[in-house]
Amino acid sequence: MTLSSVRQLVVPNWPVLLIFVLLALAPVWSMYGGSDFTIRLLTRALILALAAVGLNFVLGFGGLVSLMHASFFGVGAYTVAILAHHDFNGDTLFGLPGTSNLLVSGPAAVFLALVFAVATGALVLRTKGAYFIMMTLALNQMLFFFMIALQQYGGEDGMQIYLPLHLSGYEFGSDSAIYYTVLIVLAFFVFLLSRLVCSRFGNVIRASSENEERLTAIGISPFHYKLVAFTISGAVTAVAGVLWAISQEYVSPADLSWIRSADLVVIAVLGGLVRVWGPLVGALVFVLAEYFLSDITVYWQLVFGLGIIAVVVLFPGGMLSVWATIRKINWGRAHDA
Amino acid sequence: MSAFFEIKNLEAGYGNSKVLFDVSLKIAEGEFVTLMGRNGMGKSTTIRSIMGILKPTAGEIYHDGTRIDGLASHKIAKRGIGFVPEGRHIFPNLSVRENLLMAQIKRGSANEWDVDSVFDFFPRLAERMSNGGDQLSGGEQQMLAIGRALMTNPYLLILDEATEGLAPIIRDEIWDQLGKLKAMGVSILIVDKELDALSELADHHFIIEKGEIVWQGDNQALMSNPAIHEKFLGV
Repeated sequence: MTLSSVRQLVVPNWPVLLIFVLLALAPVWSMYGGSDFTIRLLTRALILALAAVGLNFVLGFGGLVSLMHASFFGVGAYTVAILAHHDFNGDTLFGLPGTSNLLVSGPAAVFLALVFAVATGALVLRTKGAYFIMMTLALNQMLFFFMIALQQYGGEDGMQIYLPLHLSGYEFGSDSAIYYTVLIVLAFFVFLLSRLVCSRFGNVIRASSENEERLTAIGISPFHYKLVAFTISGAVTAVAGVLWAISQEYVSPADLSWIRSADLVVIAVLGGLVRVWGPLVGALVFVLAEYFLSDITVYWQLVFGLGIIAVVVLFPGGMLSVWATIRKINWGRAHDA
Repeated sequence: MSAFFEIKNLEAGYGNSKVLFDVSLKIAEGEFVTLMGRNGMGKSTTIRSIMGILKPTAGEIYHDGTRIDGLASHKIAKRGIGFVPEGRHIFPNLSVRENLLMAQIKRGSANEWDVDSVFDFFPRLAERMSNGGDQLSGGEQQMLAIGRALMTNPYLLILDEATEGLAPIIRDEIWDQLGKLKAMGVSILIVDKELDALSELADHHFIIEKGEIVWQGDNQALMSNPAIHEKFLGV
């Protein structure tokens, strides 16, 4: 199946507006019959969606199967948590005071993620295919084991964020406030990356997934474009990590293990790689399936795995292509009859 | 005419297998030059060496007086050497318009190529501007590949097997357009087997045999020498 034919099977962009409207109404619904738990579950889904949206920028459009995006997620979450930890203890980090103010720790987290992405991207983007995957996996695990060994910040047990994180004095106060913050940030990045994908820069990234040699023949050095894309992608995933620290008030090495990286790949593939917002659908399905299936059976991962295989085999465009694929099959049957 | 593009004693190969032994050629500004020869004689290897896709093992390549062998491929293209590769190699996951826009290099001169002028040049592409690259016919893909190279506003356009595998009517259309490019003053180096069409357009011919330039001459010299056709081109 060609890329164009997959693209034709995938729903257009407008349903994402409907999804965001429905998501915006979720706290209202929870007030009249749902529960706070529903909001926390959705918050978790939206944060994972944002992390996977970041990943999908290089995976779905650049063809780069990165298994190190959990490390960007972890850099975001740990930066906020570590700065809050020093704020709580009243001591300094490299001579600088800690802070629980997200207007300081948030940008610091993104800056560190940018530096980390440039440094690692300059290395891993010189490799391709299986080597790229293995390099990203290795880097992810290096950071994972480093954080486990770092007893000062909780080691394997992770660390609790004791002081309330705030925006220059404004505290989130409720699950709904955190939920709406996450939703707005997610909508912002979906919009931003959608614009970027359609730009000349985005076209180069998409073209690089096809054949880099062809790009050089028209005067474009794919490496530099891919490095910028990888850095943007890592920074977006780091923002998701910051939101994770806000919502969980706790960070753990598990947040940056390779399993988290693999989850993000699954979320992106499940939702659909050819739309920026595909991972949003993937994350909602992933988190809700995780919750409901684990309630039914302890072997829920087996059932979930079969479901993922079914989606990949039957719907190459992910969940976004379910409707169009079924319609196409019915149209074929009607014409055969 | 003085050469603004020159290859001197080029040698190149793949691993231990040497393909080019001694290739030298010159192209003057605005000249239409062919590189001909039978299959496997080193035509595409020469082109790949020019474009920096393959690193030459010896010899020199000059563009506008500057040595360009050893430069990265994208830097050679940025200098104004446009390349239409064998097999078209358009990007199937981009639309026609995106394929063109992505390639644009502005050089600050008058009458530069842009999407509109490429669409004027190849009206078929204008009709298919929103289609994906993999939804085009072979001829349309070739037009897009040429259009994409034109978007880099090249001083020298290199085409490798530009009409291979195309229907005769499409081939004629491509030749017509290449004739217009020549009239516009674009220098062209082309690898192709269509002697009749080439003889109408080319100013100078180079024939390559087993990695060496074995014959060169103008159009009249080539067409008046059937023995050359038989010996080196298998015509």
